[in-house]
Amino acid sequence: MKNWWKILGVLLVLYSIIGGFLIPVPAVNRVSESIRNLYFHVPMWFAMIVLATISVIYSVIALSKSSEDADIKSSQSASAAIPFALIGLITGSIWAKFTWGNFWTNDPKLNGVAASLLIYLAYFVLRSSIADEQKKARISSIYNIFAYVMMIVFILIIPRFVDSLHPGNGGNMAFGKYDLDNNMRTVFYPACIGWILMGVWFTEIRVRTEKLKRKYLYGND
Amino acid sequence: MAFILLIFFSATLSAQNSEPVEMADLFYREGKIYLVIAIVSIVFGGMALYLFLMDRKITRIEKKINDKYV
Repeated sequence: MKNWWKILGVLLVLYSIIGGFLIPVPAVNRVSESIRNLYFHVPMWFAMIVLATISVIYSVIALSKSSEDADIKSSQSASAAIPFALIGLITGSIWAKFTWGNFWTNDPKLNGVAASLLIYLAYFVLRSSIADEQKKARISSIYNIFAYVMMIVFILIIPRFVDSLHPGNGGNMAFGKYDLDNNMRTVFYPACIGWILMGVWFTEIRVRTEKLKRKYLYGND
Repeated sequence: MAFILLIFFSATLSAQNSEPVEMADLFYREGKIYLVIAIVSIVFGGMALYLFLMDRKITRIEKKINDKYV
């Protein structure tokens, strides 16, 4: 059964929902039970980064092989990354209101994510502005590579050098401020894998739909 | 000697946060968490089912188009 990984993704996320609420969490000051948001807010970012990475890899392939198939996979995985970024921002914003007092703060990671989102939205505007498919593939693939590098710089590199309220900055990526204990790891890692698989499923559906659309519009070429 | 020991012990105590963190223990004891789990699971499970049905619809369209254009 070739769709086993889709079912696995659903099961892992379902497990993270059940375990996320049942498995005991450390009592951290001011955050309290909302530390459970970790199981839902953070996997959004992991899924987004994995999808953006898939997108840039296919961009490179599309450029080097002039492959329309790779261009479709590149653009559709980038499209699938956007809702993860938006949901990550919204869930993070609500969490910030409860723990930091504001929906938005002047924080490097938050600003970095917002800037990266705009850069990727510009990628889609660029694509829609070019009519010829091959030109569109070439130019947008080049832009995709730059967009990816900027995103990595904005959300993974710069925040480490700057002081911030955001957990994980100033220490290692593994949310050191929250003392991610072993109990939480048993839910957090499956949640990340589950949502990454869901993101790949979203991408696969988009790719198949786009290929059908092109076949219908342009025939079998 | 006793004075030095007293200073030593008070120093370790001051490093701790003495107020207990308020968690939702009563909520959990009353078993209400199972309602939350059930609702979120149903919401997500319903969306996953919808995704699966859409996936199947696309598979059928793919078969149709491949028969027509191949």
